[in-house]
Amino acid sequence: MNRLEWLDTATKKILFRPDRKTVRRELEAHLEDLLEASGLDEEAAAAAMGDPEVLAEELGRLHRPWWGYLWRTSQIVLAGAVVFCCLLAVLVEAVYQPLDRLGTSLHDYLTPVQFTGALEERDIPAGMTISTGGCTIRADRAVLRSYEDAPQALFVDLQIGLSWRREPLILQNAWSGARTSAGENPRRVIEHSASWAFWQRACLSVEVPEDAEWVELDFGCGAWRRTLHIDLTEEAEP
Amino acid sequence: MKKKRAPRPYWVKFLRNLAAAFLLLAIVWNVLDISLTTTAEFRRLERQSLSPPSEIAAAVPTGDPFAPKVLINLGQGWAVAGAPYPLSSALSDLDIYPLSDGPALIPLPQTVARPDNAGHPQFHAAYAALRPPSDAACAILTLHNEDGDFMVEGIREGAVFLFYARPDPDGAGRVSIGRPWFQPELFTYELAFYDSQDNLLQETTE
Repeated sequence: MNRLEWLDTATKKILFRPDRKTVRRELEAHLEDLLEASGLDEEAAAAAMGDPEVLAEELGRLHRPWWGYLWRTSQIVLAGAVVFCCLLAVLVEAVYQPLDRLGTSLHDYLTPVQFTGALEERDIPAGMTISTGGCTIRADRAVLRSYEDAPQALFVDLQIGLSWRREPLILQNAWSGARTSAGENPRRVIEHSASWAFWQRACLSVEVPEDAEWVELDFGCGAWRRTLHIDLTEEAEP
Repeated sequence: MKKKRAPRPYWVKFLRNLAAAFLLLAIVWNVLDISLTTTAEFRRLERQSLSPPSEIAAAVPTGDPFAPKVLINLGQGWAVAGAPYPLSSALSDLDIYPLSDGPALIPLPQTVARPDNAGHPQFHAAYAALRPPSDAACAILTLHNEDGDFMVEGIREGAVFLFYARPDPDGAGRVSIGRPWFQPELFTYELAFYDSQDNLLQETTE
């Protein structure tokens, strides 16, 4: 059996081609060294390397192809993901628009809401917090504003800590109701809402009769319903 | 001379490539705001509305390939009707209706395509009657809005009755289904349930 036949036989049970090539190169190098060192001819040197069939069994057992196939598959998957992302970025501009949106949403989140035109403003003690549905809702600030040609309204700045899913609340649904000591279902408005990363800020307003002593804001429904109670009779510390 | 590092095993390279591919796709997925399925998008809308996960009472095919179903869920004291858009959460819609005792009628947030006698799809406003009497075999809805009065028979779908109605075409053959069909404060109705012997079981008026 010559050198090439010996190498082919010894590596025939290595099914994954890159492994087969690598092992073949190493065996060939060993064969070359043996030829140089011993001065034997090719056939004798091949025979001196051992029974190629026995070696083939051993090498086939050592070099299972599955991890190799999986690695190849993962290369194809990664290449596909890169191509997909490049196509999106170039053809759909889907990467640039959301990045621009990220910047816009951060700007909206950080920009405070300005209210003007109120005849009188009174800060109400805030800081109450509720937790529901994986979120925490904290009333950062509450301000009672009186207007010349509009009913008095309580404005509440909310800081909402979102769950790990980073899903901002749809306040039109999540803010499920309001009531005051002077009546149910007052007019309520979502003045502002912006979210960024794991946080959401919102400003809600509720019409409040002059004689109201407290306001309650309901969030959620069913087992997730929670209520923020705001006492209007107290004065906030300066 | 720099020492040659031993080649990494295949399983390491396999895991590394998969992690890199997953990270890339997760970033794109997150940036594009895509949901996996209609039901997953609906559950997201529920969480964002602080509505606990509830039992799906009905799934109504819409004929819209981008929002293929309207899902109706029933909770303890409330109902949810949502039209999820899996490819864009900005277009998804969900409404929550508090429920008192007895049957209730809720409008679905999206029109539904139904075939006419010739098999052509026609868009209808859709309504669901929730918590009908258990022995109700038939339900009739009489709807009143600014477009007129409409009487339709319900189709039983599991625990709910579904109603489909549409205005008559105008002079140019066009049909417009606007806000008076979707907002409860803009329409009134009578809802009657009958048993299999056509005996009136219950009637609700709003």
